[in-house]
Amino acid sequence: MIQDPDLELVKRSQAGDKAAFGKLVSTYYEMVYAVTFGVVSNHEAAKDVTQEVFLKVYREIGKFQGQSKFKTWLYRVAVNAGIDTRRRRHPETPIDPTGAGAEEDEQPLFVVEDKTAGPRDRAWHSELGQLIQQALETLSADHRAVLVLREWEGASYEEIAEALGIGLGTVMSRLFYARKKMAEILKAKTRDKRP
Amino acid sequence: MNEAPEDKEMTELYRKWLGRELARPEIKAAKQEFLSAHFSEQPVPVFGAAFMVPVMALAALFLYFNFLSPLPSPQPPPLNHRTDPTRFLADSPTSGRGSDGESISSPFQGEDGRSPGEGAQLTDAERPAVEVKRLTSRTGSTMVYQKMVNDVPVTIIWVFNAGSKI
Repeated sequence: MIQDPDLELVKRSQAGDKAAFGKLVSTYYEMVYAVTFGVVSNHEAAKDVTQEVFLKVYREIGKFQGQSKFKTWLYRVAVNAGIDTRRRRHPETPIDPTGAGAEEDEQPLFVVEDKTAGPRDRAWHSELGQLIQQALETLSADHRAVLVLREWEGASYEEIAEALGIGLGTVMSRLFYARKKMAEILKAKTRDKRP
Repeated sequence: MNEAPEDKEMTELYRKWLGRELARPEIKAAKQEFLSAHFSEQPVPVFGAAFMVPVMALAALFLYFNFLSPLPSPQPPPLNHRTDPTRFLADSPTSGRGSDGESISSPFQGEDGRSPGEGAQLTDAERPAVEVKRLTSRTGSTMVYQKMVNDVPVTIIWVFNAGSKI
């Protein structure tokens, strides 16, 4: 039997205890929001998807058998909802080849923010978000899902595989590809903007 | 699984960006709004079982002890333990005038004395407005006076040495 710290609240929720489910929402709202935002890259859409995810999970919590952790089940529902939304909003486009395969640059990819940085540095950092979003746009929803689960949530490869219903090898290859693509595009886009 | 330095750099970059995006206060506000709209603690319904059962139980106890109880109801005290302002004012042969010109009744006789109306059956209208059922003092004997002041019964109790029970 899987040790699930949320099992008690899940059982109460299955018995119709709304307040118990509210505690689960309170615990995992930010996590679900992060996962969906990582996939859809839009705050308004992420909010809508997050709330739809919790309403759906509440409706279907009776189907939860406890064969996986509640958190992993929630990952699965959140990622699938995020991917569906992403595909509806942005039909898959081929990866922008601009900058891909650029010559190796030995300079560091990113300079950690320096509190004493001058206006020019701050301006460069303020563009960072846009650059990352541009880089993320080149990735498919599946790759973005793996990236956010691994890099933000710190989920294990096994958890990601279970949440997405894919094999461990697929998790690793998607992660490798996503990181590589992000790095290539960021390098290309930041080369000329570095202070 | 060891990560290449470039992967670590990529991770740091990504986490920094996402951390900033997720620190927005609107997210927390939306969470609170969503929670209160859908999953807040429900108020106890006034006509629900959790509220009505104790209320009905209390009502049943009240009805039982007030109307259905087999216990004897309290008996009125003997007449010589009552004070009746109207009786003091009207029936007393020793009634006089106080310093303010109002009539003052004669002292009410305790156990040793006999009340003017003792033994008589009183009508509802004659029943006293205030009853002194039992009065004792270890200091001395006691006497009770009553008079009406603007329809309010005022009771005066005198206590003497070598007390006795009324």
